[in-house]
Amino acid sequence: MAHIELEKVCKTFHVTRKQKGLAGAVKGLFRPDQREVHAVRDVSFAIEPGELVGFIGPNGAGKSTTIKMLSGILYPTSGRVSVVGLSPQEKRRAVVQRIGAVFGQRSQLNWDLRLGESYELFKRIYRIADDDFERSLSELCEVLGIGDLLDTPVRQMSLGQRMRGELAGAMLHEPDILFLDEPTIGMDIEVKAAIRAFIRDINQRRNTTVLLTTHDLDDVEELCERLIIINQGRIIEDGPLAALIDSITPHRYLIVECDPGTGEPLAGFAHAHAEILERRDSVVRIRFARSQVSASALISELSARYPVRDVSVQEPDIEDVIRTVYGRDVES
Amino acid sequence: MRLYTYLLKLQLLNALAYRFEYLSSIGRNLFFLLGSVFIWRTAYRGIDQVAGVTEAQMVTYAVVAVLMNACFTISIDNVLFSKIRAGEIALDLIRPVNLVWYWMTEDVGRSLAAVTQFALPLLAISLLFVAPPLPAGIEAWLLFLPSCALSFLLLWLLSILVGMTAFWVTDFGDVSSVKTSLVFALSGRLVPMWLFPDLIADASRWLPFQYMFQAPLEIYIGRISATEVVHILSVQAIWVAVFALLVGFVWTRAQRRVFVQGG
Amino acid sequence: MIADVRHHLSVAALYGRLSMQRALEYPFSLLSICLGLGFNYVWIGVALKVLVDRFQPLSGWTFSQLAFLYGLSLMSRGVMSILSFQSRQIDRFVTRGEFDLMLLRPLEITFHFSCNRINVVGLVHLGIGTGYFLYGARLSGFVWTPLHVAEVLLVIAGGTLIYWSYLTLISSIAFWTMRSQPLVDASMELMARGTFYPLTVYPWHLQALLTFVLPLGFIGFYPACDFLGQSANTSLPLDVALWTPAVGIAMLVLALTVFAAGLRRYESAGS
Repeated sequence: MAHIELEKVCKTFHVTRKQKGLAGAVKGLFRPDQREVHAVRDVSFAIEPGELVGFIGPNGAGKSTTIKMLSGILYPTSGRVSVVGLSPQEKRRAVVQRIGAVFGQRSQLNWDLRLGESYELFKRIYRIADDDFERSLSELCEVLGIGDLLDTPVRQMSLGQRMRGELAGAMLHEPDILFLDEPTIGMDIEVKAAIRAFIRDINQRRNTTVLLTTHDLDDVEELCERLIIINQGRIIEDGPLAALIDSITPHRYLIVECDPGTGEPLAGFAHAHAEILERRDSVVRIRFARSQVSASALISELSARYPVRDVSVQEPDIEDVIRTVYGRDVES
Repeated sequence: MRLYTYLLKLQLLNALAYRFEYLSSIGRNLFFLLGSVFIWRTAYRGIDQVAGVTEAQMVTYAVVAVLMNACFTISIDNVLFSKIRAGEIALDLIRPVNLVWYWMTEDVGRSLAAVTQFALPLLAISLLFVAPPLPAGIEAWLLFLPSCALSFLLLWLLSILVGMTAFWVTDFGDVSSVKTSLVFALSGRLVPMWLFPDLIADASRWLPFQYMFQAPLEIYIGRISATEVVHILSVQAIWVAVFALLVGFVWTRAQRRVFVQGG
Repeated sequence: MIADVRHHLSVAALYGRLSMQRALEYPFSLLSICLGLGFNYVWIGVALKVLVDRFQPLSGWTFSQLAFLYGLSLMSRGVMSILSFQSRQIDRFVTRGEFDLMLLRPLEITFHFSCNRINVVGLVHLGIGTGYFLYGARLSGFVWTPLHVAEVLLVIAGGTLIYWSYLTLISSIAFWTMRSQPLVDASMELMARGTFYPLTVYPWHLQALLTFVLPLGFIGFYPACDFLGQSANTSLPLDVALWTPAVGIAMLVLALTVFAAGLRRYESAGS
């Protein structure tokens, strides 16, 4: 049974647009400028237990709205939402008992209290048994390295310390599903690495299902086996990371270094399925369609005709994928 | 100068934009106004005058007190608290303006806006439902204005002084709530100090608070003679001077503190 | 069911403890708020005394009777203040989307929302109110029979409910308009004017308003009339007392309904 299931889910907001100037404000009193915003349109996907899924898209694409519907905060306008087999709207309390969430921009920890006191509160709220709590807490403290921080007031913690505290707080009650909304935003490299290690750890050791939204493509590359891309409220791609890269960017790059001093490198090069992107000194960057011509064929063809010194093949990265995907959608 | 007129205009527009806040604020003042007026009327039932003040004078006093309070929209203490706590003050200090004047202009602008925004509607309501709060005479009205201006200055200076405590003790938090309470009680805004037992009334004469509300109001309802008016105006001016010196002194210290300790 | 109630109560108790701890984190701030408020409320009593001494009993109420009424109202206001820290700021919760986090917890949401924070400062009103009430009761010949004590407690509970429900109603407007804080502030002022003095100082239409539309008269005035044998002597054909708890419960039902509707709207609109 899928852990998370969405079926033709739509969410429409009515927003009142503020009108310009004093005259506009007065007019707005009597005839407000109402507009429908389709935040999420016909979204369907299913996530199985133990999956670690990256959920990405530009700002305002509908990521947060989707997560809010999954966690019972928002009601969908239409469609069916199911989390651990239940509707988060109808069985909110039962569902939220089994999910954990971290919203990067909003703290769940009590600003004025010591970190440990916030956990004490979660223990009470989620009805965690004493020994479960002890075990869970010591385990999390170890993985996240926050054991020394339990007696520190949250307001005195650094951004990275606080985020690690948030993650531990979201996992204390050992939820089946963890929603992470931009957990690495604003963190330095070291903290990012710690957070990623933690996510990988709970996913593997506890088999927690993780849905991760992020703008940081390194997060995606390092963590996610599967990627769901949303733009303008619609799911535009959903699949394993490697397959996505393949299907979306059919090009690879060839970096060719020629012997210096032999005139313009690769002069007069022409190929039906490859083209030169740029020449810099003796180095040339070529883009070729992978399905039409293999790298080895291209390389042997080149070294037969030109004084090639060195060749390397460059895989497209996730950034290319995403740029292509977003761009494609804007054009359509 | 153009900067300051621009600020003035900006505050006026800003204030007009918040219609919801506006109506609620009118409501709050109205409740207070009606509360005081009806209590005074009940107190005066069958009594001509107390301490030389008639019912009509007292009702006028109460109405004008509410109008003044509605116009004195001074927020400098809260502005300072939040700026200092958020650490924004150092950024303000490097701007090429005199900050104290800058803040004062903001509050003067807001208060001028409040005259049309709050005083006029509240005045219209009291004309319709209570009584026209007329001054004792044209002379009283003319003397009321400078006295009222001095009251505003005095209250403003006290507020910025309270706000500046945050430079030293950020956790002072709502120390302005103590200030507000003291002013509410001892300024004669609620009940004029002359009605209190001699001990309190005499002590109050040596404190600055009654010169923030009671002084102009006494002039307005004509409770005091012309010579006494001169006396009151000079006491107000002296208090303003004392507070201005204090503010100047504390402000230099505060700036130095920010530059030395980085806010 | 019982386990569920116990779970909620244990969370509330912990929230209470943490709120106090949190208030003590900023001792200066706490002290200045308490001093400011305390002085304010003491002074209103002093002003009433001056009024009675220099003029006459206010609408037939001596100072001790006024103190009794003022103290009674202030006690309810104190309890309300302790419990309503949240419901007075629905405004902030809506605009900052703070209900999101609350909806994430496996607790009944209205309960969770109300017990989330306890306002220690309310103890100041409660203390001063009790002081004035005891003073007024002693001097105005209030008899401390067990029945009277029970009645007073019921009145305080009912008064608290009226205050709380009324504020929650007003504050819930934010679910529709995003903004309600100024209206809440205005209501606090109205509540002070409507409960601290005998209603008979006001003309009949204001009395009617404060009896039937915004039933603030039931917080202090009508019960005090009954306890002190003061004829309500309103211009209204009404001689009621101890209706306070009933009115309170009616208001509570209304407030909870509106709050729930607002929350439903929040869930469909987000922030």
